[in-house]
Amino acid sequence: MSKRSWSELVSELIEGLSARDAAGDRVPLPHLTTIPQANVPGYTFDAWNEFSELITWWIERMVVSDTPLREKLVLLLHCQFPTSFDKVGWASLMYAQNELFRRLGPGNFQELVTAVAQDPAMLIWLDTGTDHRHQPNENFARELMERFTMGAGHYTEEDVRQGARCFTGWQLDYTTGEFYINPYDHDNGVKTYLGHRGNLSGDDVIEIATHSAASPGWVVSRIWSWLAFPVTAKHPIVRGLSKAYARDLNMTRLLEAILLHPAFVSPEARGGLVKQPIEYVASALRVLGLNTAALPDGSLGWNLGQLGQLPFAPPSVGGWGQNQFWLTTTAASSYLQLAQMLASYADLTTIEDLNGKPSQQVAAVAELLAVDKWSKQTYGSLVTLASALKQDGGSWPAQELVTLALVSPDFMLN
Amino acid sequence: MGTLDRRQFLSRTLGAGAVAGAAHVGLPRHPATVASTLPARARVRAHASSVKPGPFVLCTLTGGNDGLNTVVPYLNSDYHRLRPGLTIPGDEVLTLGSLDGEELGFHPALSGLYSLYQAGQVAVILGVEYPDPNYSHFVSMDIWQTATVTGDDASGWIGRWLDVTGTDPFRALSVGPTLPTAFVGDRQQASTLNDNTSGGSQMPGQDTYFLKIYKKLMTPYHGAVALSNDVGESGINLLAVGAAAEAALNAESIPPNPSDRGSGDIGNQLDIVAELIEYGLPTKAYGVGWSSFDTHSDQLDTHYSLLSQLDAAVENFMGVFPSPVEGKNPVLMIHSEFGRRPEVNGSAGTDHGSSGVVFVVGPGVKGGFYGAQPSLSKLDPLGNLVVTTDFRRIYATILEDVLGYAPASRILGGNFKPLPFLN
Repeated sequence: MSKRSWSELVSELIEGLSARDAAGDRVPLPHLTTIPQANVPGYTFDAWNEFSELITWWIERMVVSDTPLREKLVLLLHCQFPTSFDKVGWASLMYAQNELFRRLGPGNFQELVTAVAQDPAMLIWLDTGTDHRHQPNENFARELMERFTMGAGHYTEEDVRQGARCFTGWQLDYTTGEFYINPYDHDNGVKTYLGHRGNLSGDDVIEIATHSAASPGWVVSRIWSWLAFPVTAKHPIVRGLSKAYARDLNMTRLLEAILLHPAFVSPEARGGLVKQPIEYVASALRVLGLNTAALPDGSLGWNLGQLGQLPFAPPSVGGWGQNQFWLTTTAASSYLQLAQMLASYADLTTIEDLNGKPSQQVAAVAELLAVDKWSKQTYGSLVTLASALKQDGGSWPAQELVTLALVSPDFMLN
Repeated sequence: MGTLDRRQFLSRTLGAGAVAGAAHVGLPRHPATVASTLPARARVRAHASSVKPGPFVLCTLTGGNDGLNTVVPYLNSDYHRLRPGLTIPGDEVLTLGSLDGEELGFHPALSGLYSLYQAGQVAVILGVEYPDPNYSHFVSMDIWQTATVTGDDASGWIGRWLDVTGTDPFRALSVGPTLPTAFVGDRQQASTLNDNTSGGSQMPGQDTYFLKIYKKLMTPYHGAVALSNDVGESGINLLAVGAAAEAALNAESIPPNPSDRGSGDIGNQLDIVAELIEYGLPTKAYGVGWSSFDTHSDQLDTHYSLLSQLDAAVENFMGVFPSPVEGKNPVLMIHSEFGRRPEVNGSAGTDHGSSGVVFVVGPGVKGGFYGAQPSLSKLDPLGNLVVTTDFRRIYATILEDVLGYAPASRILGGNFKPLPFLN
């Protein structure tokens, strides 16, 4: 790919961050019960079924989206602010948070964090809404610094305690399902937080944390690590990108700078990441020309759970790991089963038609899966299988071939 | 708040389970009393050094288990002063006796563990943590799992043992699709098992010929991108471990447990491990784990439910191994990344604290108290318990006496005096 065409592609992706996603918006939203609806006497609903349908809705959006970078950003923000239905309990609130990421994700990071802090799913997830003026709950105040904005090692336990005081009174109204600040439960005393002193509010705390010296390195290293290859906040690439990001905390400009960074298209970045299971599923469906409707009900959630990444259900506020984290023996088995299922639903006529011509067949599989070039070992294995299947007859050669290709390191890595 | 176990949670996403009318899934109520009516178990005590201890089973409780309400200082006035509404009453605790003048008792949900304790098979290790406690879940868990004081970028302690003991993928097996850091070394990592008791679930469905070519595809080779070889290794190890686990689970060496106590996800995981040990797999270290111990709010009911399931799981597991048999003499260690704050917070829960309780259970374990119960009248400046026992002392015992690797200092990066909790 020439340099010019890459920069053109990047412009297109970046424009997509603020463009309308016509195809994505057409994905029908399942019925998700809101808190006020559930308060109507006699109203009943199945929260787990709503959750399952929500998973399908999101994956479908990723598969069909006209604005793929924004969908990717939504996933990265779910990884940055991991929140689980397991505790939140309302699919409608998980959906609202997902839309929040889509709407505010490409903008200013401080505004995003403020909205996330007041987001009902987050209020439930990190207990912000349950504490009282004289007994603050530290859960949100701690993760705000450690996971969301700064990273460990840049604040003291006292900052956690003082920060927690500033968020007292931030509550969820269980009649409307809306965030509000309860003045009777808010601590109006003087607090000292990361060196700032005064009657600080929750909003002040978020401003201070997102503008702290440690924040740009943390945010930039996280985003870079999910897009290119894992780095720490001290990595020279991160230092370089952080300077520009620190000026306006603008996520669109950060994403553009990352995609256009020379290291992003360097050999190091090739094969630098194992696709996260959610990305794997979405991209496999996309290249195979499938959508979620083609699969049995509930199978997507089940398969993603087997791979260790059920959407809307991270294991903890620490989210999921990277690379080696996904490469367990169990996952290898689950990928084989998933690949076989996907291949069985795909229309593989063009590959089927090439039966008897192993090398052409293998080239056609590469084109189908959008793999530039097979590694020598993968190529050899695929040709061996294609040749054997040709002689075998009676089986489903194209399906088996595509199954093997889908679990090859070539497709598993970004 | 929902605290469904992971297994239920995953199966529910199939859309099969219906919870009509409520988004919040109710927890069982905390019963006023729990009668310890379990039959006394006939036990044969081990004679010192007659049967080697092992395999090791590491059970990690994520979220920060509240040590004070697990092993309860139920007569301590500071305990009642610090957590009004969140104490376990003295008439409910399962009394253990006193240590240094402090009367201690198990949480009433731990009836199975209590009968094991009475049989002399539970080491209760008190005040366990590390110097200068960290209150972040992730940093603290990393410190525990890496056995380093910062937890930064280090490999896991069992992973480092794997690094220096060859390449056999059977040496360590962890249940579940992802691996805890403890099981990840610099060069080697544990294999994983599907969290499903059916043997067929351990292997993919493809035929032998397909898997032969899959093996060719996955074989690591010189000159490949590092991650590509890591993908390959996971596939190669699957072919060996998955087939063996399938055979072991299909053999069903253990009769189904008649107990109707719900042991949830952790019970399921320990059932798998029990089958594999009984079948005779050569594995030396197993991993199981469970989350949701982060009880910042409404702790009383949640914690009861969590401990009750854990207890049923441990009781079922140990029921398979009543006395030491060579290779089937499991040493089960149960720990969390930290304990919780002695003082109740405004949400009827507790925030992150230090200094937790560790249990080591097994037929070859020398039961009793180890370490020292931290004082509730002399908290640290942040209002937390003072640490009395370094967690690496437990690891030293495990490494040297269960995993058979000495000196443990080579893995732990320092000398930690082993705790004598094995017969």
